[in-house]
Amino acid sequence: MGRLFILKPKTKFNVPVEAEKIRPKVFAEKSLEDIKKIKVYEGNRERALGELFEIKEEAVEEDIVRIILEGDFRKVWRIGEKMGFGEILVNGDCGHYLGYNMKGGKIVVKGNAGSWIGAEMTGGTIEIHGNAGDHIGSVLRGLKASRGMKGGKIIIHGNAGAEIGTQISKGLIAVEGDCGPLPGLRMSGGTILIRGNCAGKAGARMTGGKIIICGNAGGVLPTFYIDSIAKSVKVKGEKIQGPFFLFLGDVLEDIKCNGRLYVNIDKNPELSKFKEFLGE
Amino acid sequence: MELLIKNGFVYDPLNGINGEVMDIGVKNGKIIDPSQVDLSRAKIIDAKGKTVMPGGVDLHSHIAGPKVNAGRVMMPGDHYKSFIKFRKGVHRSGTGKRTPSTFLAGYRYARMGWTTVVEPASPPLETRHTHEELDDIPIIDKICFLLLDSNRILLDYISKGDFYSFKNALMWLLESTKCYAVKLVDPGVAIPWSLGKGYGMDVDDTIEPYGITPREIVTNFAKANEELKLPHPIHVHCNKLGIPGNCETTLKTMKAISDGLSMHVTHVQFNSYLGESWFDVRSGSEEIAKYVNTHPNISLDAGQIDFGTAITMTADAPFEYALFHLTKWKWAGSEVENESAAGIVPFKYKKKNMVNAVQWCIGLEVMLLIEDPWRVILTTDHPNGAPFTRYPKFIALLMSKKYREELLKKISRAGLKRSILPSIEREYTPYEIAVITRAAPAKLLGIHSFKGHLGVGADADIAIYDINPETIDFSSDYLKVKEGFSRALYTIKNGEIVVKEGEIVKEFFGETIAIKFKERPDKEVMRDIESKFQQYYTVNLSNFVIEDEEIRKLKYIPVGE
Repeated sequence: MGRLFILKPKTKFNVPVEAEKIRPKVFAEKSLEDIKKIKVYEGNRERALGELFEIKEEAVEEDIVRIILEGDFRKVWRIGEKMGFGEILVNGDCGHYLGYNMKGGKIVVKGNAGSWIGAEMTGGTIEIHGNAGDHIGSVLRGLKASRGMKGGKIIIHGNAGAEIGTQISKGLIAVEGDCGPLPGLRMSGGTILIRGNCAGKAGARMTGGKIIICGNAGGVLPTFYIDSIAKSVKVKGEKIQGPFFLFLGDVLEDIKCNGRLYVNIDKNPELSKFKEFLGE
Repeated sequence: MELLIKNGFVYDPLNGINGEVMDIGVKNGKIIDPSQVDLSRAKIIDAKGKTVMPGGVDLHSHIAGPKVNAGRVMMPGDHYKSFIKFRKGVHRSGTGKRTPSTFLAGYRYARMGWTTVVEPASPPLETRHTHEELDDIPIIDKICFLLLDSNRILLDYISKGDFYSFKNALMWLLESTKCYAVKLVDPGVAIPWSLGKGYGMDVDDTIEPYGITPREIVTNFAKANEELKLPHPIHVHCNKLGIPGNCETTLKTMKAISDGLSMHVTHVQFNSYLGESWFDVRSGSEEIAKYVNTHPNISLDAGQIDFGTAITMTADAPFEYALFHLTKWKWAGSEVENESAAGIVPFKYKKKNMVNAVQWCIGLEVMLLIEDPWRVILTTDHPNGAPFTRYPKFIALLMSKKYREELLKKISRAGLKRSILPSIEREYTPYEIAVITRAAPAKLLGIHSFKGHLGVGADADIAIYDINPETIDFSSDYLKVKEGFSRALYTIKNGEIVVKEGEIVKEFFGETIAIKFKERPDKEVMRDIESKFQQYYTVNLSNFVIEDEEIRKLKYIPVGE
């Protein structure tokens, strides 16, 4: 026997609400009355969850804890922080730090999302149907590489901002649309798939993993070596048709050049000179 | 405000009081005879079954200054989870664990019962910044040391052999920057570093273009220090810090100081490695302790490390650059014109790392092997070895062999074989703890007339801990000791209760202590300094001197004839 919660904001928030308590584990252990008493911060003031949101509970047949967030959650941050199981569904937009340090479960956002989505996550799935902000699946600023994204999947059907997948070591970030500059900054493993265009500087300081850019890459950094031409690339069992230039790098960071950068040949006419280097 | 602290177990080493049950009276921020307290007005604190000590004195802790600020910028990850919330009318907010913001540094020291702290390295040109930050640190009293080892003006005089001018220039520098004592960091290293050299410079290497050696720099400063009658001996961070085999260099530096002169060797842990490389590094604490035990003119502080992330920040730029290549994470380097060069590198000490285990042992070994507690002081060289909030842990470790054995089980066995800590039986008594954390640093700083003791007339800086020395077994109840010292039951600063049961209850600002010479610098020398200053510096001399009004609360200590 599962539980289903529906949350609706009572007012429009002017200051950020730090809602790290909105996660299935916290809700599953409590009665509805207790859930309404959970303390969250709105700006610098402590408030009860029941003061800020209308909370309803419904019974569901499946054995699952599901939280549905209806309405505008753009000012609500840290939803599903450290979440380990269950589902969160956002019918609308949501704010920053969604699924920060997430370990399992599933988050689906029907609208747009803010920045730092899935930062430092180690498992689970995040799916965003709209656009997302910057630093998707990244590490918080100033922390060691070992704190980066270590697993799980982030799928963005729209566009994404700058610096996605900073210091990622495992897992998948897939962007159906375009993305900003510097994807895969300092990455050491994992996969970043960009089906649209990229604003440039892909894979700066990478030491491992792969980045696949199906659209225009906005140039390749001079610290990458051309290796070969690949007809297709496999990502989690799916075959992505090319053909692609395969670059290795970043030599500035690691002389072994274990990072792989695939760039579509047809969409990048300015890179055609590399064909000459390969003798084709 | 009048206070009467009743029936506490008082440890006051400067007055020879060892755990006697006594009353202490406080009036107008000073300690008075308890019989003179007006009982109708006074607030009475019942300290029955509690430990009463003078407020702690920290001799070496980088809490303010330009490099600490750079460290804060470099370590945003340090500030995410460690914070204190704002409480209206009581205290302000702050963040940071290893590089706390100014307010938090003051609160954390007060919570542990420490009331006087020394910022040990400030380059003269940046001292205005240091004082601005020190002014912002609440509750505690502050002292600032001046970094002078690579000062071009002073080195000019040393290379010419003009000791009289050197002495006068030193006097002028200390007074015009409102500092307290001389700090030498890897003497002379910033000169070769400006050419990209200088890593591993030894005591007898020549510094070009001056043609002098670090040995000459140290001896000249020690001599001038003695002749100027400065309250604190020269504060020396020896050459070759953090390089295996530097134990010999440290001993050479100590031997360079002849019997009439005195020296304080700081964070000696980083300077006591035997062996040729990191693969055969061994603890050199025995050699150091043997020398110090027989030479009363040398004093030490430990510079203990603790496992976990620390931020190394020192004016020893070549070493920091080498360390950066070891860690491959972050590095910041800067050079202050004509004065010094500094570097900052975050570093993680690991339990299972042989070298880090040896380092961890050396600090404790030094403190346990030196017989005279008045010449060895507990420091962690915050934030280079560990944050200052780990002092209670090291107090507990010094007092309990059992606790040491417990922790030694968890660290690298290869490291243990290279150190002698497991064989040391000594356990500190609470009296000795009061010496190494309060009385001895106060005495070494020369402020023992009014700080670091509880005699009549002293400043009313008192720490009361919830530790009953009659019932507690310091050797086996080490966790209680650690907890007791990390949250003072009461901290009283200048007669005001600032901490109650480990929480800040009141905020105010302490003094900055500086020296004032009774004699004036020679006018002839001053003219020479002015012309040199114009030649060397990008700032004007009149903009360099720090005025009395720039400092929130300034207290002068008269020095000289």
